[in-house]
Amino acid sequence: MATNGSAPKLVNVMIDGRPAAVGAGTNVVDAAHAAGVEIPIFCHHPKLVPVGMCRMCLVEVGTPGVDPATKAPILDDEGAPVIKYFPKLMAGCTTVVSEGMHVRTGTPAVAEAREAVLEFLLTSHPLDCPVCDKGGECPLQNLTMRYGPGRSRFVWGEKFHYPKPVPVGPLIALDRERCVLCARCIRFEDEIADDQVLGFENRGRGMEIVSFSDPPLDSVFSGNTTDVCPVGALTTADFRFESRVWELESRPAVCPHCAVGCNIGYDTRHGRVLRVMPREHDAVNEIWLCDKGRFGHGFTTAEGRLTHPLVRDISGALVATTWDDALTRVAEALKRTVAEGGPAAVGGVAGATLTNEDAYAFGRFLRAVVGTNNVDHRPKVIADDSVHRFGAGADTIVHALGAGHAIVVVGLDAEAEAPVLFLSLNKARRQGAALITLSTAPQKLDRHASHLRAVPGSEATLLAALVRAALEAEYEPVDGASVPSGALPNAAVPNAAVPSAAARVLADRLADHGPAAVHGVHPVDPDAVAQAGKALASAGGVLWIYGRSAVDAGLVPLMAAYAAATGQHGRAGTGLVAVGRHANAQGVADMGLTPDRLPGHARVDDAAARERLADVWPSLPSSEPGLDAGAMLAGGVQALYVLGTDPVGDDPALDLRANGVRTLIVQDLYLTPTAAQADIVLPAQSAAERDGTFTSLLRRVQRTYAAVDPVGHARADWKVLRDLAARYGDAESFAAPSDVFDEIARAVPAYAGLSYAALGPAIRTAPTDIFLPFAPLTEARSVSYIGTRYENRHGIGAAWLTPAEATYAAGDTAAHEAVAADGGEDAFAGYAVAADDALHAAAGDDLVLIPTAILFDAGRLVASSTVLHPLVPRPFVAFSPFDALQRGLVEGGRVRVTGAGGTFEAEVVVQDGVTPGTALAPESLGIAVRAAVGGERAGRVRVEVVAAGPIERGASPTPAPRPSSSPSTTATVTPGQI
Amino acid sequence: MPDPAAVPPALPPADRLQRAFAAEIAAAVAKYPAGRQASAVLDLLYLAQAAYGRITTEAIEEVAAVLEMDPTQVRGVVGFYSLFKEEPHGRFVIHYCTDLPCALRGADAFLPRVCRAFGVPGPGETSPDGLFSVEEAMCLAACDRAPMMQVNLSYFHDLTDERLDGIVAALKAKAAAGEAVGPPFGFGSVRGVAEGVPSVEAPS
Amino acid sequence: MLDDLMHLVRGMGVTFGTMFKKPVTIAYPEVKRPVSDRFRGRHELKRYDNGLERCIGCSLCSAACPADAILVVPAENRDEERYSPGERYAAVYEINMLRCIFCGFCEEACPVDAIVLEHEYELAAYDRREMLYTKSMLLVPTAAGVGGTPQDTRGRDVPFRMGGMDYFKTPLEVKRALPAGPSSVGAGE
Repeated sequence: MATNGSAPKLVNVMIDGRPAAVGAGTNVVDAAHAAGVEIPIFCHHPKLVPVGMCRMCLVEVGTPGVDPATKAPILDDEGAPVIKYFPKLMAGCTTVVSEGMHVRTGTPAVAEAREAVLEFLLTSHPLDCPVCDKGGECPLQNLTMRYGPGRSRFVWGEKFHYPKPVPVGPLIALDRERCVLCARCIRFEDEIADDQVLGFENRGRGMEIVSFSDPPLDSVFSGNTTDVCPVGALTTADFRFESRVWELESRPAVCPHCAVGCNIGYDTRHGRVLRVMPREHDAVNEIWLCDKGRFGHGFTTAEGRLTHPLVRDISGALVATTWDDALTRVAEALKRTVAEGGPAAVGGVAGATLTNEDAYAFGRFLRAVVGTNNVDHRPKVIADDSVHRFGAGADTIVHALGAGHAIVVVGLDAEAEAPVLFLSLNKARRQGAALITLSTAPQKLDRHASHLRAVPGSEATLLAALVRAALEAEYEPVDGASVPSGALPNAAVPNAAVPSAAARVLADRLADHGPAAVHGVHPVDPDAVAQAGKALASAGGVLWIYGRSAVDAGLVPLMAAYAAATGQHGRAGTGLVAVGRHANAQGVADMGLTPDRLPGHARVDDAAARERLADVWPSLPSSEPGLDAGAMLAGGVQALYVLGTDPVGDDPALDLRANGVRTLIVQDLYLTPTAAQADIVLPAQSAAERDGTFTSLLRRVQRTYAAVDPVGHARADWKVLRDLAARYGDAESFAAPSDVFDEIARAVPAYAGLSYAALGPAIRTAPTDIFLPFAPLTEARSVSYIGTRYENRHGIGAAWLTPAEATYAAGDTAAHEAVAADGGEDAFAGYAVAADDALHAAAGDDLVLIPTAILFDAGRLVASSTVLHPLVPRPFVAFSPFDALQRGLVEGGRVRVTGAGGTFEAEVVVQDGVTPGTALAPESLGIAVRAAVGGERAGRVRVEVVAAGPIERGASPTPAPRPSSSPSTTATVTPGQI
Repeated sequence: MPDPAAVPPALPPADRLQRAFAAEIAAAVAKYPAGRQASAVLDLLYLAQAAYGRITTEAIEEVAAVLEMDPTQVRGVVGFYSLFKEEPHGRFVIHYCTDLPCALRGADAFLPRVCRAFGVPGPGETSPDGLFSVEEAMCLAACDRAPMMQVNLSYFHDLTDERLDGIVAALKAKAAAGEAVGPPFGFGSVRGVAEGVPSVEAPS
Repeated sequence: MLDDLMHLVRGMGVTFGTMFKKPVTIAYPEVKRPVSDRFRGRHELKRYDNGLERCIGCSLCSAACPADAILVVPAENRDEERYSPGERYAAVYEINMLRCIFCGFCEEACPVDAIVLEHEYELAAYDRREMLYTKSMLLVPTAAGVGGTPQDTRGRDVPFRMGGMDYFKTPLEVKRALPAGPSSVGAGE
C-alpha cells in the first residue's frame, strides 16, 4: 500500500522455472502473473476475494520437503531442496504462496484439467458468439481458443435453453445460458459496492443469477458487473447490439459528471459515442465507474443541442446567425454597458463543469479584458482557500488508506454526489480505516461508519464537539496516564513548524463545545462523539472530505483549523478534500472564478499575485472584490454573461429581466430556461467534443480528449472568449487549448511546471516511442483482470501540491516554515460555532426541510440518456417513519410543502433513518426545493396532505424506495426494452 | 426534536412470521453471536414456512427484514434447499426416491402407482383435494428398503400397492378427523412449532 | 526465296484453316457464357423458407473482408417486428462493390450462410454512388406465397441454424428436469 508505510514481507517462489519474489499473502495466480506466466481464470478477480469456484486455475503446486523427524529440509544429492508436489491439482486463486513454493502450469495434467473445465463450462453454453455483445472481448472465447478442447462430447440438444435476455436490472440484461456462475457480479456488488442485491438461486444446472431487490439490481454501480463478467451473460442496455467491439474506436476522456474525475473511454463508431468504459487509474477510479458515468452519455448526441449562435430579431424571437455577427453583438453590448456603468456593470457566472482552459479564459476575459471582478461560479463548494492551504496530500489515494487512518465525511452523500469516491471510502473502511460520517441526512455510507447525525442549523456544534473530543483525547491524560502532548504523532512531516501549542489553543477555545454539549441538541449519543474523537486522535492521519452541505453550514473553517493546528494536512491521507457536485468544481476555483480570488486562490488585492498576473494579462482589474453569483443574478449587474450553468432552471421563479439584468448572454449546450431569456445565445461544445483538463476533487489535473465532432457550429468556450477578447484589441491569440494551459501554468503557481505533454502523451513522435509509463501507484499493476478493461495509455495527470507541500518537497525549509506559520495562529481563527436556533426551535407542526443530492436527477445530462431517464424518480419528499405515522403520511401519497421562499408538491416517501422532525427533498428533480427554503441549506416548511396514497402499506411489501430509482419507474421495464 | 430512541422503526411490510413466532425467532437468533444474526436464516425460513404455509415473497422479505439481510440473499438460500416450498403444496408432501439404487429395486416403475394411490396426476403435482403433493427425490438414504417414500417427516419403506392404500387411508382419516395438520417441515428450534404435524408411523 | 514463299503459304494455311473452324468468341452481351458453379459474383443475402432473413447482423463478414467493403449496423429483433430468427438482425447492410475483390471471405465467415456470392457479374454503373449496394438490393426476394420481413412472430417458434447447430429447438428432457426457470422452447424472447 503506497501510503501505509511498511512494505509487505517478500516470499520467493518458482513458477514454471521462473523465480519471483512476491508479497506474503499473494495467491498463486497473481504471483504467476508477476513472474510472467499466465494462469487462466474466470471467477478470480484481483479486486475481489478469491472463492475458487470455476477451477480454471488448477495448477501443480509443490513445497520444499521437510523431514518429519528432524524438521530439516530434505536435500537432494546436489544440496537443492527436494520439492514435494501435492498429489492433486490446486486452485491457484485460493492457494497462497509460501517460501520456496514451486508451481508448474505447463504439465499434461494441468492442460487436461483446463480442457476438462472448459468443456464442462461449455456444456450448456449456447455458443451464440456471433450475436453476443461480448464477442470479441470475451475471456471465455479467448481462453477456450487457447486452452479449450476444441470439441465437446456433450450433445447439443441437451443444452439448457432459457428465454433470451431477462432484465436483471433496468440497465443490465442477463442471458442465463451464457453464465458460468463465477459469482463475480455477486461479489462485486457485495464486496465493492456494498449492495447485496445479486444472488444465486437454485442448485446444480438450474443455478442462476437473480436479483430480488426492489427495484431489481438496486445499485448505482451495476454497470461494473458487465465489465467483471468473464462471459456474455451480463451486458448493458445502452450498448445492446449497437456494434461489434472490434469496430469501436476508443477515445480517452475524463468523466464530466462529478468531481471524482474517473478516467473513461468514449467508444465511438462513425462519430457516435456508443458506450462509455472505465479506463484504469489506480489513484482515481481503479477500474470502476458509476452508472451515471457509464450510461449518461446522451449529451454527446446532437439531439436538442444548440447548433448556431442565436440572437433576437426585431420581433424578439431567437434566430440563428453567424459567429462573427454574434460575437460582434456581444462585444458591442458589453462595451456599451461599460461605457454607461463602468466595468462593474458587467458580470459573469460560470458553471463548475467547464474545463480549466474554459474557466481560465472566462476569468481572464472578464478580469483582464473587461476589467471587472464580478466573476463567480455556481454551485460553489470552494469559496475560500482552505483546500489550497490545507488540502489533502497530493499523493492521497482514498482507496489505499487503511488501518491507522481516519476519514471524516462531512455534509456529503458520497454515493449520490461522487459515487466512485463512495467505492474508495468503502474500500478504505474494509481495509481498517476509521470512517466517520457527519451529516443531517442518512446515507448508505453510514451503514458501516460511525455516524454522527446533526440537526440542521446546528451542524457546527456537532463538528466542534467532534474536534474537541479529538483534541481532548490527544492531549488529555487517559486513565491517569499522561500522554506526551508535545509529541504530536504526525507533526514530523511536512508541517513540523506548526506548533502543537496551536492545537492546545484550539482545544481550549472549544472547551465549551465538548461532546457533552451535544446532548439534547443532536440525535446522537455524546459517547459516540467521544469515541469518534478518539478514533481521530489515534489515527496516523485524518482526511476530511466534505460536500456542499458542509460548505453551506459553514463547517469548512473549523475543519481547516483542526488540520492546521494538528499539522494534519499536505501528506497522504491527511487534510481537506472538497467534493463539488460538478466535474471541475476544484478547477474553476483554482482558475479564480470567485469574486474575491485571482487565479491560484490569491486575494484580488494580493500584491504578489497582481505582480505575477501583470506579466501575463493585458491589464489588471481593481483590487476590490466583485459581486458573487447571488448578487449578480439578483440584478447587481446590467450585463450578465452566463457560461455553462442554468440558474433559471434551478430556480424557475428567477426572472433575470425583472431583477434588472439588461443584457443577458448565455453560452450552453442546450436552450436552457436561462438561455431562453437571453439576448444572445452561443452554442457550446460538450465535454466529449473538445480537449481540455479537469481538476479532480483530489486536485489531480487530468487531460480529456475530443471524442466526437462538434455538434453544428458549436465552438469551444476558450475559443469564443479568445475571439471576444480580440474584439477588445487583446493581442493574445491562443491557437490550441494547450496554449491556454501554458498560460495557466504561468498564472497559477500550483499549476507551474504542468503542461499537456507532462499530463499525458498526446503524440507519439516515433513508432518506437512508448506511451508515458503508468506510474506504479499500487501493487494492482501486477495483476491480470481477465475481464473487459481498458488500459490507461493516455497519462495519469498530476495532482498539484499545496504551498506547504510544495515548499517541503522542494526542501525549502525557510519558505516551508513561512507557509506553515501562515497556517498557524490565524488559520483557526475564522471558524464560528454557531447554532441557528430559529431553525430548530419547536414551532408547532413545521418540519425542517433539507435539500439533498440525488445521483439520477432530472438535469439535462441524465435526461439526455435514454436508459437513465426512466430511473429519474418523480419528485418526492422523504419523511421519517415517526413523522409519517404522526401526520398520517402514506408512501405514495402527495403532499404540498410550503416554505418561506416558495411551495411545491411532491410524492411521499417514508424512509428509515431520516431524523424525526426533518424531511428530505432531492434537488434537481424539477421542483424548486432550494428556493422553497429560501436558498438556504435547510428551512422550516409546512406540510399539507394533498392526496392520501395507497393505504395498505402492510399488504404491499414495498420498502422505502431508494431515491435514485422508484419502483414505479422501473416496473415498466420489459425484456423488449432491454 | 423528539427523542430518537422513542422513534418506532418503519413498519415492516409484513409481520405474520413475527406475530406467530416471536419467541422462536428470539431463540434462533440468540444461538449466534451478536451481529451474526443472519446465521439464523434457515431456522427463520422454516418458521416462515410454518407461518405463511409456504415461502412467499412476503415471507422472504420479512425474514430479510428481521435478520437485516437483503431479500436476494434470503432468496438464494430458499432456492438451494428443496424442503423450502415456494409453490403451493398439499398438506402432506410425499418425497418419493427414484434415484439409481432405488430404481434398481423397481422404484421408478412404481412411481405411477404411487401417484395414482395419492390421486395425484403426476410427480410434482398436487391432488385435487389439496391433501397430497408427490415429488421425486434424489436420495432419501434408505435404498435398502426401496421403494420408499417420506411423508412429511416420516419414512415408509418396502412399499407395495396394499401398503400404499393403507397409508393413504390412514392419512385421509387423520385429515378428515380434523387433526391439526400443520406445515410439513420443521427442524431445530422449530421442532416445537412442528409438534402439530401428523407423525404417521409406519404400520409394520 | 522459295523458303520465304513456303513460310507465307504455311502461315496463310493457318489463317484459312481457322476460317472454317467454329469461332470461340461469343456475341456478348446478346449471348452469355455460363459460369462455373463456384464462380464468385455479386453477393446475395439469403432468406429462410419462411421469408425471414438469414443475416443476424454479426459483422463477421465485415471483419473478414480484406477490402473493408462491408458495413453492418445491427439492431434488435422484436417478436412483433421480426427480420431474422434470434435476437439480432442487420438494420443496415451495405457492400461497396468498387472495393470488393470477390474473394469470398465474407461467405466463408458467415455463421448462418446468409451471404452468398452468386453468378451475376454485370456490375458496371455510371455513378460511383450506385456501386454502394444496400440491403434492399442484396436481399433476395421471397418465395411466392411467403411473407417478407419484418414479420409478426408472436407465439411462433422460428428455429434456425448457426455454426452448424440448430437453435430454438426443444432440448431433450429439460422440461422434466427443471420444473421452474428455463423454458423448453425459446420462442424469441
